[in-house]
Amino acid sequence: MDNSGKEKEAMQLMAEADKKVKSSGSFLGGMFGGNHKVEDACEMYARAANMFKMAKNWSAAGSAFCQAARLHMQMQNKLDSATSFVDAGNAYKKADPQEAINCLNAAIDIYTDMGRFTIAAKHHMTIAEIYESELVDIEKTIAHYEQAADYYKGEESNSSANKCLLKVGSYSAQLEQYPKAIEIFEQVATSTMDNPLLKYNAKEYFWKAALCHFIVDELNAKLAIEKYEGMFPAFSDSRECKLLKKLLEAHEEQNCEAFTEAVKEFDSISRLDQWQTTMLLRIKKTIQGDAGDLK
Amino acid sequence: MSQEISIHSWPGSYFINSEKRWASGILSLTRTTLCFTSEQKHENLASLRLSRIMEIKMEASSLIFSALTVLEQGNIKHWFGSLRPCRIAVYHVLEHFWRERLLSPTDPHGVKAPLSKGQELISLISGAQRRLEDTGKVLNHQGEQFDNMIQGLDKIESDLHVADKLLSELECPSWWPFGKLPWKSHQEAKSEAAAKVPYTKVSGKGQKVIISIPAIVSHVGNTGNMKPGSLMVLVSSLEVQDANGQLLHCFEKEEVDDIHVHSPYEISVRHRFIGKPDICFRVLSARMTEALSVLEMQYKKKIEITRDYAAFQATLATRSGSPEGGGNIWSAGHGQQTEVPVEVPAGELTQLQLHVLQPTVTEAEAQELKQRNRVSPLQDRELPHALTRQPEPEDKWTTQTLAQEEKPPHPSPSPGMPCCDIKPHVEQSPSAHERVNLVAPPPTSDHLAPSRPVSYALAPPTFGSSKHPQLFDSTGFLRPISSPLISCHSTSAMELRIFRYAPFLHLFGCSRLFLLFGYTSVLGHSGSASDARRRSIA
Repeated sequence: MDNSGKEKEAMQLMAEADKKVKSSGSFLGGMFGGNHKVEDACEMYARAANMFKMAKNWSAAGSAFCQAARLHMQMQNKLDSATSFVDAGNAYKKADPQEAINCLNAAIDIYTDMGRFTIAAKHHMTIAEIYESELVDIEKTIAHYEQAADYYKGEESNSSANKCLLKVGSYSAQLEQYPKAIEIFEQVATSTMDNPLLKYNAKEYFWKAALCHFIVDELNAKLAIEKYEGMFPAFSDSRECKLLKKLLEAHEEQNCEAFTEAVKEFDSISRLDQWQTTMLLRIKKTIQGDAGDLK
Repeated sequence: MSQEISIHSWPGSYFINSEKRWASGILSLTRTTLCFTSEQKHENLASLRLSRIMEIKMEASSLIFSALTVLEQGNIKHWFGSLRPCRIAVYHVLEHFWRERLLSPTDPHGVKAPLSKGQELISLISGAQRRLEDTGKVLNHQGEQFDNMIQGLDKIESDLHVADKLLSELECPSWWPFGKLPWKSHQEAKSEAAAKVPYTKVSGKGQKVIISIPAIVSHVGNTGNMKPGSLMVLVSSLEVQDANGQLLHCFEKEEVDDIHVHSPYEISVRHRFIGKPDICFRVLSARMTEALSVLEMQYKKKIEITRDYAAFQATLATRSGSPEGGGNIWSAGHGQQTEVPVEVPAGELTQLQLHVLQPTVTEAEAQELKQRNRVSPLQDRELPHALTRQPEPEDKWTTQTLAQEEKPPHPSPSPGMPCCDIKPHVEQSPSAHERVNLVAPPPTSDHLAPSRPVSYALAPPTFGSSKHPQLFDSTGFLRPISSPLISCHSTSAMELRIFRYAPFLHLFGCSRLFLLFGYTSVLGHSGSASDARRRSIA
């Protein structure tokens, strides 16, 4: 479909809207229905943005939505302003991630100001995802997930909060910030332990925490596993716990083969994901040094 | 390192981050490294040791379309695009070699033993277990979301209540010296008449009686007043009568808030009220089981089994030979549910396994299997429990969204006009869906979209039934005399008031008020409690 027509139309609308805004700003314009003109301009910007969207001109759509959002703000329409900022963010996401983040941050400011933390947290998550996939800035990803988790916790949305926290935990471990990761995994595990639906997942979080302990120090891992078994008896029955014990044993004896064998056996039954593979590789490296590349 | 023979290589392109451009070349994998050499200058653009790889992902970015990304330690992400023959093939090879660093035995001559039957069984069960774990997680998350939704709806409802109060104050200002406003009294008379309708209707014999059983009934509240009577289950209501066939109380189907089953012979039916005592009847009958099977079909979600019932059922089960225990499908079904074997006895399982797979399952594997088996049924039991908890808010929520979605479009006049939709009188219908279908369609203008409900638009005059005459009031706006506005309620007088004040309010710039009321039409809310409240207010 030919969308160039749409784009042209959108441009015209933008120009008209700009004119309206300007005329409303003048003295006479301000006297005669200035507010009304601004409202019209808002609507025009939104329409133009939608047309840009149809034409897949994402950055133009984003900037049009942004204009609309600013005008809404000028008229003290906070909710509309925030929605427009979110729309702008979504449009920019496809063209200019940094600008998308700016827009979403503006929306978050408005939402937090209005006390709507759940939705603010949701947008923090969106920003974190942008940092995660487009800009590859893991530190900022972590920061935004943490903020989202905080907001969710404040609103008693614990499962969403835990979801964010687990992300923070995984990324912290990737960045070798093990103490933080351990704290988070333990915290999530203890919070899910008492939930009838979630208690079956607790072992996974304990396992992750124990893995982090293991990378830091073997003895720590031993103590931690004992502690976890005491806290959550079902953990000692889990395959993860058995694997950990085997790994500890192998590590103590500096037996690389036994280590590999144990991991392999575990993997043959339930496949290790990439995070676990990375962590186990790090542990394995402490046994064999860096010489363990493929033979 | 460059002398190493490459295991595999693929033509593709690499994103040079510093120069923000793509360079085409060849990606090759050796035993220890992954490197990319450019096509033109044959320079090495990227080289990373397999041991430093943290993550390999297939990503689709808007900046870089369908690429393969490799995250190196220290947060360096390498993007490889337009790989040939295809991205997935490259991904699998890379991931395989990366993983094999962890999994391959140090002794290269070690032969990989195939999975034993026992291991396969364990993997099957642990796979199932993992899925259940995931399901649990998702269910929990959904449950939380439902809770939040309900909270939001409650908030909206309470806001509406406040607005309603304000409006009624507006309607009868304290300085108005002549008592009630003329249209107000007229409308009240109407609503009173409407309130009377169900009573005259229900006592009639026109409705089909499904089952009638003799019973001892007591009105909870006046204690100890047990008298003989009967319980009649009708198509859309539940009647409690005394011995002379006189109606003691009639619960409309939607009025019944819960039915507690205390024992197979005793139930209590409750209609909750806010601000006044609930109406609750306790019914005891030897033939209750017959009625229960019908009630269970009719009031599936409202039936609650009390602890007494479970205890009763347990004693019944021990005396399974007794005549009371038989002939009741409903209780039999329920009994089965509670008697789901929690765990397979250890001895049995091993025997079973040994019988089937004698040569391949080791003792340790059998132990493992037993353990997994013990966990799974527990999980199985808890998941359905959580599932049954969810439909309640889900129902509430879907009726409301349905009300939003099912309203067909119809021509609407200019938006922004302070006017309203006119809806024919809605009969109380038995099912929520039917009720929803009767709801008057809202205008299609953006102004009633859920995100920004602003004002009502006037429906074409033909839409309202001919029973409802329309008048022009002094402001020149079309005004119906007796028809309520869009909403699921037939008795919602509030909307009528909105309509009446619409012109004035708009003059005063009260568009915010409309925003609030927009929700009534959009959500079209249900719930007998709010209905009752409205009625009492009106």
